[in-house]
Amino acid sequence: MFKTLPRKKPVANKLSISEKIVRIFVFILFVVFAFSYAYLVFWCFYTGGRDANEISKNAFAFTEFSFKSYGEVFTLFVDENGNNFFDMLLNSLYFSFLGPLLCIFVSCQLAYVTSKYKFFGAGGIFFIVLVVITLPVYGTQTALYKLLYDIGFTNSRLMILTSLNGFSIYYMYFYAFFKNLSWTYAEAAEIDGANEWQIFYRVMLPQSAAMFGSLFLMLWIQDWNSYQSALIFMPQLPTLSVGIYNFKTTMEYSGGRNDLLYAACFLSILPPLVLYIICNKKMITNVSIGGIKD
Amino acid sequence: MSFRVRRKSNKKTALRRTLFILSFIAIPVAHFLIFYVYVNFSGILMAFQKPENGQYVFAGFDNFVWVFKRIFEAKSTGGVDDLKLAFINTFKTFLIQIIMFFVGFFVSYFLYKKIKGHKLFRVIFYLPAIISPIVISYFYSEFVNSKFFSTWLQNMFNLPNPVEIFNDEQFANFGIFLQIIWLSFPANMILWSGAFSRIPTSVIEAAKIDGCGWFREIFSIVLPLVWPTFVLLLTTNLATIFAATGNVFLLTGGDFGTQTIANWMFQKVQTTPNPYGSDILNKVSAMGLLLTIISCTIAILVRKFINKKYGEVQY
Repeated sequence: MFKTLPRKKPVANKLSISEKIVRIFVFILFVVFAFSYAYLVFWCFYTGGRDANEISKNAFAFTEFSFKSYGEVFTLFVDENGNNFFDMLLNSLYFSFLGPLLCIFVSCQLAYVTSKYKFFGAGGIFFIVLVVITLPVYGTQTALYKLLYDIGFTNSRLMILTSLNGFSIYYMYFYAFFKNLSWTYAEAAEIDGANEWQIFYRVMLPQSAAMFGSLFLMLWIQDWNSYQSALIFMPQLPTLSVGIYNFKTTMEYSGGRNDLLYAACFLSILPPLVLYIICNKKMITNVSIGGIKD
Repeated sequence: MSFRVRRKSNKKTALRRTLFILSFIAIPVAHFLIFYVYVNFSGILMAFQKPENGQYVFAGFDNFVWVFKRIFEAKSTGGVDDLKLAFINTFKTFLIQIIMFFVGFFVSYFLYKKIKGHKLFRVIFYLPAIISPIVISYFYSEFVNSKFFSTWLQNMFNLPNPVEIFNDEQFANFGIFLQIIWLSFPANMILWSGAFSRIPTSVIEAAKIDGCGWFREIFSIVLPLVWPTFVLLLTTNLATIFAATGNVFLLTGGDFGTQTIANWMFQKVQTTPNPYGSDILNKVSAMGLLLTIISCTIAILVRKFINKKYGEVQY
C-alpha cells in the first residue's frame, strides 16, 4: 500500500570530517576527566574500608574491604578538643542548613519589595547590591574577625546571624524573577481581601519555590563543604569539614588511623552527593544567569 | 461620611504597606550596615592603625611601608611569608585560571552540541563543585605522592630519586597548578549552559544550511550570541585577580614556594586568635586596601574597554 520513505538526514545535522575528528578527541578527553572525578568518589569510599597499614603502604591498591571503620567513625573519630563525629555533624547541619535558609529567604524578601513596590530607596537598594556583588573587596576578614571578636560571636552559634545577608548575588536572581512575574494573581488576592504579607507568603513565594529550592541547595552544598570561615571564626565549634582537617593535621604529627579519616571523608560527601543525584536536573536547569529559565 | 471612611481606610492601607516594606527591608539593611559598611570602614581604619595596650592607635602609613618593603625589598625565601613570590604565584595562578576559563567555554560548547554521553558528562562534571575541597585535596595529595606518579615524574625529568611533589620546592607549584587544571576543566558549566540554551536553534540551523563549519559556528555565531555572559564572567575573573589561588592551604600550607596573596591573608587571620595581640591583621588590612584599589580600577577599565570595543548582540 503506502510505503514510508526512509527519512533523509537533514543537511544541518551532517558532520564534516574535521568536526568528527574533533568530537572523537573531545570525547576521549571528557571520558578521562569524568573518570577521574567519578574515581575520586569511589576511591574515598573504598579506602575508608581498607586497613590503615595497607593504606599507608599503597593508597591505591586493592586490598581487603570491610565496613568496620565506617562503624568506628561514630565513636573513634574525635578531634583534639574532644568533639566527636556527631558534634561535628550537628554543627555542619546547623550552620549549613540554617545559614543558607536565612540568606536566601532575606534575599527573596528584599528582592520582592524592591521589584514590586515603589518606595523611596528601592532603586538605591538594587544599585547598592549591584555594586556590592561586582566590587572586589580584599582583606575584610580582618575587620570582620575583629568585630565578631569584640561582640563575642567567635566560637558561638550566634555566628548564624551573619547569614542574614540580603545584599547578595541571590537578590539578583530573585529580582529578575519577581520583575518578570505577573501582578495579576496578587491583584486577585487583594480583591479577595488578602493583605501584603498574605499575598507574599501565599501567592508570590510559592511561585518562586523552584528557584528558592535550587538556590538553597546550591548554597547548602557550598556551606556544607566550606572550611575557611569555620576555621577562622569557629575553631571550637568544628563542622565536619573542619573536623576532618583537624583530624588529618593531628594525624600528620602523631600518626593515626587514615582509614577513619577517609571513612569520615566519604560520609561527609555523602549528603551533598545523594541530594545532587536526586536533584541534579532541577539544580542545573532552574538557575541561570538571567534568572529562571522558561 | 463615606469620604471620611475611605480616607481613613486609605491611610490604614498606606500604613500597613509601609509596615510591610519596613518588615522586609529592616533586617537585610541592618545586616548590610553592620557587616558590610561598618566592616569595610573598620578595615580601612585598621590599615592605618596598630594595637597598643589592648586598643588600636593611629600608625600612619607604617603598615603600607611594611607591605611595600616585603614586596619590593625582602629577599626571596620561598617560605610562607615571601610576599614577592606570593604575588608571582598569584599572577601565574590567574593566568592558568584565564586559560581554563576559555577551556571551560569549549567544554560547555561541546556539551551543548550534545556530544555522545553529554547527559552523563554534565552530571559527573559537576562533582568537583559538590565535593568538599578538603576531600578532593586529600585524594589528590595521595595520588601525586603515589609510587606511580612520583616515578613518572622522576623518569620525565631524569631525576635520581622519586619526587615528593609537595615537599619539593621545584615541583610543589607544578602540583598546585595541575590540580587547578584538573578541577576547573568544566569551569562555569551552569552559567555557560544557561547562556547557550538561550541561543535560538533557528540561527544555528540556518548557518549550517549555509555551509558554516563548526569552527566558524563557535567564533562567528555562538560567541557573539553569548557575549554578555562572556564579558560578565571575564570581568568578574579579572576583578578577582588577587584572589587567584589553588588549594595552597590544604596542599602545602603556603610552604615550598607555593604561597599566594589570598592564602597569605587567610593564614594570617586564621593564626591570629587575638586581634589586639599583634599588628599582623593591620598589615593584612593595608594589603587588602591596596589590592582593592588596584582591582577596582582594573574592573572598571576592562569593562569600559570591552563595552566600547565590542557592542552587545540583541536577539
